[in-house]
Amino acid sequence: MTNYVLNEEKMFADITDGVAIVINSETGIYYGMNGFGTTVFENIINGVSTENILSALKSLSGAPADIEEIFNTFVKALADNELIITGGTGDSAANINAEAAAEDKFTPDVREYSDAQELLLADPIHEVKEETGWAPDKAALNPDAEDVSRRESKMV
Amino acid sequence: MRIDNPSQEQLRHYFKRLDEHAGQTPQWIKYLDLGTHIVKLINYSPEFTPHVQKQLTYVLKNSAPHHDATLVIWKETDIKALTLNLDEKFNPKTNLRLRVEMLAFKTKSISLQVFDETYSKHQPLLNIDPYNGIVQAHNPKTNTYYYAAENLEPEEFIKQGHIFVHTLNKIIKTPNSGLVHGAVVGLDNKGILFCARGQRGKSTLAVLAMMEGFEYVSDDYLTLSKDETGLYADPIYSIITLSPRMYNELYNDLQGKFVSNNARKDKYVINIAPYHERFRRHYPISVCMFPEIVSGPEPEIVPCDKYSKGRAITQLIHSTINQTGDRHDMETIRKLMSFVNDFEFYKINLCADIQANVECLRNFITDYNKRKEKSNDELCVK
Repeated sequence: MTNYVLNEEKMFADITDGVAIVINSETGIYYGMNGFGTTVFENIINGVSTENILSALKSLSGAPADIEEIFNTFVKALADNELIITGGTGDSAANINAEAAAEDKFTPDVREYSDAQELLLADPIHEVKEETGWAPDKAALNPDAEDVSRRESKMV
Repeated sequence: MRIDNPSQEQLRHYFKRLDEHAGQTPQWIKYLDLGTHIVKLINYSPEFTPHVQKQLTYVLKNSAPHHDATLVIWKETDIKALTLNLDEKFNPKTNLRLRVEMLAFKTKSISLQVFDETYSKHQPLLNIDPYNGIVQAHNPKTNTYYYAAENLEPEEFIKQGHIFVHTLNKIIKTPNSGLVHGAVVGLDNKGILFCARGQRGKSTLAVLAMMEGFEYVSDDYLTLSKDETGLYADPIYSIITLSPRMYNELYNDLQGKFVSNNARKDKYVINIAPYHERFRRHYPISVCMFPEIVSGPEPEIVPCDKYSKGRAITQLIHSTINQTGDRHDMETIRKLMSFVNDFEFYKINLCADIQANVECLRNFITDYNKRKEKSNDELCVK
């Protein structure tokens, strides 16, 4: 039996209304899952073994022939991104949301949202100055010609 | 239509066009005191006045010693012309295609977004959204924000949600401050930050606590800022939103003015200016709390385990970045985590008796304050 647990040292996670959100507490990278991904993820972090989950998936009406490959790819994505780590010993039966599986066409999805420095560039109110750290730079709001020129060079 | 990385000349032209559309003589110039930032608000349309006055009553000021950003607002009467005229000078072929598309598809207008990668990959510098009748832009060189709406009828405009929330989010956003979707109330200068998504009872609890004498910052959106002395909350809006059931339950005691039914009939919007004396600025946060509605007969407050704390932080971040469109913004996510990660987290299990929930909260914060005072005294003795 192979079991995983939530990587609590690194990840904050919440599952509400059938939607899983996971945030990497070290990097700020944010992960969102679709309904099918969420129901699989929920079973995994609740200590259901991958074998039991796969068995439940195979028994779902309309499950595609390559469901095992789909499932393994999804689990690998979760593990590669360190959302889950091996651990635990649970052997309970899986409880898969069949509606979510059908709705998402048996394609579990985990999507990463990441883009450092977003919205902090070219914005005078958020300008970094060595002498003032990250404090708002009031002088930047009334830039002189040299300052304008410097900002323009950033924008083209 | 999307325009990527426009030249400086193009940008100057775009903002000149926006200035022309805004108008020549402002109706008034006022200031929004958001605690961490002061915004100079230049209003060109009388139709905007009641919305600003109703939603931003507490923070709206006639004067200010300085300002950090400027927000220009107006009622846009011809979004189609604005779209077509904006880039015609620089891209006549694209403009011709736009006109043909509008004619062919009989659309009122076509959306137009201007992206500048040095500003943001995900947030447009200028966005004309004809479907919602909204124009938003930011000129980083002058730190001037633009916001125009086509329809300012009360029941239409309220569909945009809290007024200027996306714009204010951009203005407030610094490494040490941010606009947050959460609620804050407290007693004796000890604030409780409620971390939860919508529909989890935080609004009702915060509003009823305020009515029962608690100090109040917000039930929905607020400014959080951190310095070496702690984490502080500042109010933004003077409106609350309640479900129709809660509104009816509080009807006899709530001293507010009905603003709107939120256009979806699932929430009522109420101006709570009569409670401004309970509002607090630069209000220190002492603990974080994760509300959940449970079926138990009585409310209870228990310390969060690691998983529940993770859920609370995730919900605070998720609801904030979802409301502000900042899902790609790792800096904001990291900042929000750093704001709250070191706090004690408690879970409040809310029951159906809303008065009992507030009393439970009062007892908790009173005991918490006593415990803190005692531990401070002990530290002093040592």
